[in-house]
Amino acid sequence: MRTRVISLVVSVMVLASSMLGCSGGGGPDPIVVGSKIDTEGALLAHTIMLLLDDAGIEVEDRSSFGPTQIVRKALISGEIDLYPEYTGNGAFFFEGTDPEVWKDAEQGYEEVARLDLDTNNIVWLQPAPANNTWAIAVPRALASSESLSTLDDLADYVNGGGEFKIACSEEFVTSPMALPAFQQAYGFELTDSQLLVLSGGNTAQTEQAAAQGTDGVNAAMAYGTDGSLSALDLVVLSDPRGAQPVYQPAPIVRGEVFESYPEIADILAPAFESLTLETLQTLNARIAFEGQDAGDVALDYLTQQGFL
Amino acid sequence: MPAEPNVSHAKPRCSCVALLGTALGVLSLALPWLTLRTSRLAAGEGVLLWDVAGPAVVAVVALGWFAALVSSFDANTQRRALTLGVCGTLLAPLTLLIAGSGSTSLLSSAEEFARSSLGPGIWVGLIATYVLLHTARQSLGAQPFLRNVFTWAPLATIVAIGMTGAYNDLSLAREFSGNESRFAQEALTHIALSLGSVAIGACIAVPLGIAATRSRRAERPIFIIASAIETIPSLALFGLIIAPLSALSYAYPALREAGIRGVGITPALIALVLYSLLPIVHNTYVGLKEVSPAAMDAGRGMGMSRAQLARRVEFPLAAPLIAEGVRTASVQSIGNTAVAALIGAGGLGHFIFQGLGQAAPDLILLGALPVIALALLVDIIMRAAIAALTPRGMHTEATT
Repeated sequence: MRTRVISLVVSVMVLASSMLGCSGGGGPDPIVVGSKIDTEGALLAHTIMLLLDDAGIEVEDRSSFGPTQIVRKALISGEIDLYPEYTGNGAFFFEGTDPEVWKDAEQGYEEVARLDLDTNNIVWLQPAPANNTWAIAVPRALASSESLSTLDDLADYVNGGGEFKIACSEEFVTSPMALPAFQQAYGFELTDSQLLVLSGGNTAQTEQAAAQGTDGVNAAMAYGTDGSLSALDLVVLSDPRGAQPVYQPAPIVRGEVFESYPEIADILAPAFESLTLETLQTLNARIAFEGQDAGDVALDYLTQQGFL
Repeated sequence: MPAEPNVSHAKPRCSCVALLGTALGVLSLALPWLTLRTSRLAAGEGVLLWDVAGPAVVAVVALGWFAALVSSFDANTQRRALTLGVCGTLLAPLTLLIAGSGSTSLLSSAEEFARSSLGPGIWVGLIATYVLLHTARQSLGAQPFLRNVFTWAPLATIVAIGMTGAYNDLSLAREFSGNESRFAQEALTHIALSLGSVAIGACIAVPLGIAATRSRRAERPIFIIASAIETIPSLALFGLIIAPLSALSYAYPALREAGIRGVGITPALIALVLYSLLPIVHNTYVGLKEVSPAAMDAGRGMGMSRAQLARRVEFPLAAPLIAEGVRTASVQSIGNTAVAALIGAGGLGHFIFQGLGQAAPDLILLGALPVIALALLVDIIMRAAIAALTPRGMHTEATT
């Protein structure tokens, strides 16, 4: 009995330590692809893995690795080799940069690419022309009845005493980059009774609240490429004054890995260039709204568009 | 368990627990059985039993609960246990079968991406059948065969019905098929992480527990540290380990090469090992302290040396309690491992956090239900193992 217990303990420990051990040995190491633990992260990670695999580069799937700080730490420490990150997040990764830089797609990309290469030897590849930034979305019915299409329209509507209540997260209210930036740029001020703060709220929840009119809510904090927007019949109000940083998703890769596989830049670029705001919304919707597998959605898209 | 017949002798009129279960069962008939959503993310709309099942099926379910109600008042313990057991064995699979076929018929006339989820009526009904089966098994202490029938027959029937694809239109099943490629991998990671950490934890905690019994100087610090770790919320502990581990891996590139980095499996494993310490240290300590002085004296009288006493008297007598500590640590670890998905270690928490992010309740369940099932399964297996490990003379004490 006792020897059996001991051998069981030993075998479990061996199993655990083999999981710990490096996966090295035999042939070139595969490229380890990670992503944030959200819908778009999974979609982009699978897009990248399918393209690399198609080009004959071995990959290891570590998609949905964790929240932003964890994935970034994993990349810097070499736990993963590549993951999709947003250009605008450069403002958080690097202190003391000019806030205006991040509001321009091209400048923001160049700034974060330069800083990350110098500081962490991380290479930023071709971003997708889709801006997944903080936005305000309203139900289509309200948008058409009050003819709201930009945040300027919304400011006029709110200042004119129009009924308005937005579901949002605590961060959206307090972060100077979010609601305060909108209010300052467009000249309106929301009272506490016009805010429904869902603590720890994410856009899936705020958009549901706006679509269902929960608690008199008729607007939602949203991200530009959220899949549920089109599905819940919400429209994003555009940001002509550029109150928000531009968040374009781009694959970012460790410099050492990029040196061994410089061809990945050309392998990934065409597909990323094809991912516009509407395309990403539609693909995200197929995962978040219809419940399809992220890998299946990516495979379907890449095959249809002839990238594979 | 021997207490049960006494209780029913004292109150021969009815079984209170069975009555409670039956009340829940009757209540379930009035609650919505399914929740229909126009899409995965839309608000749900409750659907009652008679909206998805024909009058004959409703009558059968109602009859089942009526029979359970009547038998709750049966003074004949044996007959009551049998009726309750049979009712539970039939009602549990029937409830799920109705959920499955009800979903199929609801979805056939709904929009393309509509979803049908288990409603409160089903959950309450399933809990109620569990109460019936549990009561029946308790009263059948002396008949292991019937006890086993009432444990495994409902489960086997539920699984057999599932094999036919009857549940495939439930939203939970849709979530599974949408994540099938990932499910087995995350489940295995979860098992390896949670049980592997307890195995490592036991190798550290048992010697610590022995040290605590042998040395007064060691006793206090060991318990203070082990208890302090236990009070740290799991997410905080995971977070706390990341920083020093990253610093270490930067200072010593060899560590990094070996896969020891600030994120991923390593910090998760360390946190889970730390959590497993207290229950095992505590039970080792109590187990060794509780060894009866008479047994030790007897050993000494037989001329045993210190080492022989430890090997042949102390440890065999303390083993069941130590194993009990390992069981507690394992069940706790299976729950804590869910958080590991947030620091890149994977596991079933992956689905829970994906589901929270998408506000998709059935995806959350796809992660949460297996965690619960796994904890229950490990609990059952380890209880059986402990019973086998217990020396024959101690059986009464260990089975309480």
